[in-house]
Amino acid sequence: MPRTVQLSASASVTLNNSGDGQVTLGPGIPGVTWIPETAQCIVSSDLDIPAFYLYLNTATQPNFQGASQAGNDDTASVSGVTLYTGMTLVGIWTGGTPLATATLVISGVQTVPGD
Amino acid sequence: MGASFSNPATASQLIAAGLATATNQQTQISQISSSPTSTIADDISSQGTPLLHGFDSVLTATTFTVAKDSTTTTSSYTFAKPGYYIYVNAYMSSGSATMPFIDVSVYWNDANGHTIAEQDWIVPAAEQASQWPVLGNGPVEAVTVQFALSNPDPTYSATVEIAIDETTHAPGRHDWRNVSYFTGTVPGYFADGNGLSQGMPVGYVDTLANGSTHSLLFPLYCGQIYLTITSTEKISITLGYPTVTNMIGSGLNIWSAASVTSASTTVALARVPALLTYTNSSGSTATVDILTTFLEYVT
Repeated sequence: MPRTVQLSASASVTLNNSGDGQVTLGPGIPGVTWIPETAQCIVSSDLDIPAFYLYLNTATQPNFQGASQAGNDDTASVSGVTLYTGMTLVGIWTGGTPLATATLVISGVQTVPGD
Repeated sequence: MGASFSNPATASQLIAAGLATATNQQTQISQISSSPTSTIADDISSQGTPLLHGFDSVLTATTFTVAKDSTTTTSSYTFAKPGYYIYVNAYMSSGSATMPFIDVSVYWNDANGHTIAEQDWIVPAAEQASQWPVLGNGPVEAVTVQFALSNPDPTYSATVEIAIDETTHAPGRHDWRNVSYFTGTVPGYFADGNGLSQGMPVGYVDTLANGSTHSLLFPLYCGQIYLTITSTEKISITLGYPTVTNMIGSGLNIWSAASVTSASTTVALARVPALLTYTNSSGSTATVDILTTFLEYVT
């Protein structure tokens, strides 16, 4: 029986000299499924406040999930998204503080293979 | 299906990202007002609370290039509110610069173009962008402001990024300070490990080889500081101002101690970059502990 356990995953990137950066997060183990409930974007410096965009799998308009004008520190409730192995959430910051560290945190539940 | 952020992106941001679908635009419109009327004023008077204070952008972040040993003069920027907040980030084009400072002259001009108030600020220029930014605020002193940015370095150009907001807050004095954000260095000066820059009572421990000299830049600060230095070996210490063309106090020493293992002083700094230099010629490596207490917060 598959088991349901807490999901808390994060990925960070150093923004480039233009204040832009991208991270991807998703289940990498076969049989594991993520059901995100919240997505949080954080940046280590808010001298330049970036915009943040969240996509499913690829950064294209049909896969757009949401966006924030406070990409330095904002949280979104995520609904209707299930990530199977190989699928990812893509977080993109633009216009942030150059060389700052940007982090995407995904929380929710995940199902893992059981006995 | 999707993600709902607390601070959703604006329509213009969505357009810039190529996401301005009809659905998204409708979402933005509904967030602005559930019952839109003909004008913003109507919306405020019928549905909202008038803003008695707040901030407006006067100059969005703009970069100015200043050639070596020269001055760049900016456009004039117009104010309608009594206070300003400013972001100034200067950085050199090379880590080999020998005079890594920018003289920011602030000219307040009346409607006839006459300068009726002026301030000068010497800001450190780091090796990279966003490493030694200065944040300032103060009273608006005329209808417009204009900046003359002077780069005294004889060899390398500099870049200065400036952003300005105006506000109905009315600061009583001009107050520009470095931000505690120093991960990079100012060319020619020793990185201080983000210690002294924080400005609060801090102990900074440094290892100084025999025959070496370290120079620490203090952040912009006006007022008294308490400085206590102890060392495992005898060192010579000087507190003063770096040599910067046209800077008041340029190259002057205000306190020194020679061949000591401990020394302390109370001195007043003058809101220009102060320089602490210490040299070890004892014959052995010294561990130097520097304690600085600023009476007022710096950052």
